[in-house]
Amino acid sequence: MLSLRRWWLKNWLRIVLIGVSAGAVWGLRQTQGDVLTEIYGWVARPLQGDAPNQSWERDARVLELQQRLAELENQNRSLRSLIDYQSELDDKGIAAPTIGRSANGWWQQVVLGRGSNDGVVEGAIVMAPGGVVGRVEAVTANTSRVLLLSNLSSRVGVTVGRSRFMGYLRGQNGNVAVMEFFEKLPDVRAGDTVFTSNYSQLFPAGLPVGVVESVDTKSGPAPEAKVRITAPLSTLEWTIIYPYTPESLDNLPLTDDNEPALNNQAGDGESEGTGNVGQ
Amino acid sequence: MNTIVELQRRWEAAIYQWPVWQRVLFNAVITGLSAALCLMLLPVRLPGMSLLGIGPNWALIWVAAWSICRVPWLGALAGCFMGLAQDALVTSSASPIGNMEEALATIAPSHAVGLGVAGFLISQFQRRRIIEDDVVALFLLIFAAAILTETITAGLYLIQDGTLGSVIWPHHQRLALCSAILSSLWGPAVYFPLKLWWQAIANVEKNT
Repeated sequence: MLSLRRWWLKNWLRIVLIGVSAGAVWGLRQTQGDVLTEIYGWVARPLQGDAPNQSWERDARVLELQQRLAELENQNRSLRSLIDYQSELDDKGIAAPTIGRSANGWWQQVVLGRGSNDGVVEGAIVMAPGGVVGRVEAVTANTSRVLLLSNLSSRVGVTVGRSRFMGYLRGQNGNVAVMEFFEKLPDVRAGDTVFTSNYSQLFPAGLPVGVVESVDTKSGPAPEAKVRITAPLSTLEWTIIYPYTPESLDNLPLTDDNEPALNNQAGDGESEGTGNVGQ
Repeated sequence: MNTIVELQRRWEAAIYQWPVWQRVLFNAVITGLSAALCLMLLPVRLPGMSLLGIGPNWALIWVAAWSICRVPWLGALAGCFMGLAQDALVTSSASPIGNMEEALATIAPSHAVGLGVAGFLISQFQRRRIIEDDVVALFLLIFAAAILTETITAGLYLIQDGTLGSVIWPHHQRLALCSAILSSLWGPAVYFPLKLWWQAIANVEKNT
């Protein structure tokens, strides 16, 4: 008992300090490091500058608008019969400067200098000249963290603008991502524009994502295409955030057995995916 | 060099006068603040401070500075804590919406493993006197530790999803090399101030 007491007297401070550190780290995890991000945003504020007006951004914007126009024409043709079609994104976006990148080399993220004070919400869509960039995954008062489309292991539902063949876009940590098709023989060729699909629950349908660079029909289990993401992910400076709440599960197209298509967590996504194609 | 030694001596004499609680509090605050500062530097990519869009691994630099003058289990513990804090800055705990197939991040290995191992090994190296206390040794140590932590992270990715190999390894090579070069170059900027402080505290504690 005496030795235990002596040990305690000798070590209590160390144990208390370890406890405090553990508490601090736990707090950081619970709050997603909000305190640190917020201080960082506050320090970086004077460095943000004004929105640039550069020619490459204008060119990229024109390209984006052309892609969007093509997509809208396609959509118009196929949706003319639907009377309850409505746009999913508000027109008014929040312009936000990039104030930081990912906190490690494995994740593809940016930190933006606008937060909940400016109306940014979790799940908001982030666009840049060129198309979709990613999705807001954490918000503090004055900053928000965006997970980019190029993030390793990311999968987003996309569609080929010209032929409406659907698939997943898999991030590859760079500006080129891989699109994996649901169909065995998709009609796709280099130069086709790729948009978010209406199968996607993370993004509203019809936003420009990228351009097909090459197609590999022999790859198994499904044909793949290399898609160059049009937005300059590695040199993002200003982005526009559009608040977006995904459709509730009840409004989603139903599969044959009248189950909500995306409510199924079983993970057999390919059959689910094909079930939705053509709806 | 003499002025640094002289400054250090005066500084120690000043700390010596402080009451114990003040010394402990100051030490804890400086340690915590330096760790928080390193965490906040992680998203920064300034010109001259990044290669191919990759920045120095400030969390690893801090863990190295901490572990180099401590026992292995404390090094490992600090590495784990730092790794968990870095996780907080990167991963989102919000449950993914939608189905399992569509998500922007399907796997998220923790940094705690890599940094914990790095902290443990660095203290071991120091304890066995494998490294001398100079800048070149520090360079090499942080260089090796950076490559080790990135390799462990790559391994964790592969364990969680074996199909990612063709993407992971090319990325790992670039990332490990850039991160190792930058971390070892920027290492002394964090290491030396912290070392001076901790050494002063240790000297004072030895004398009381």
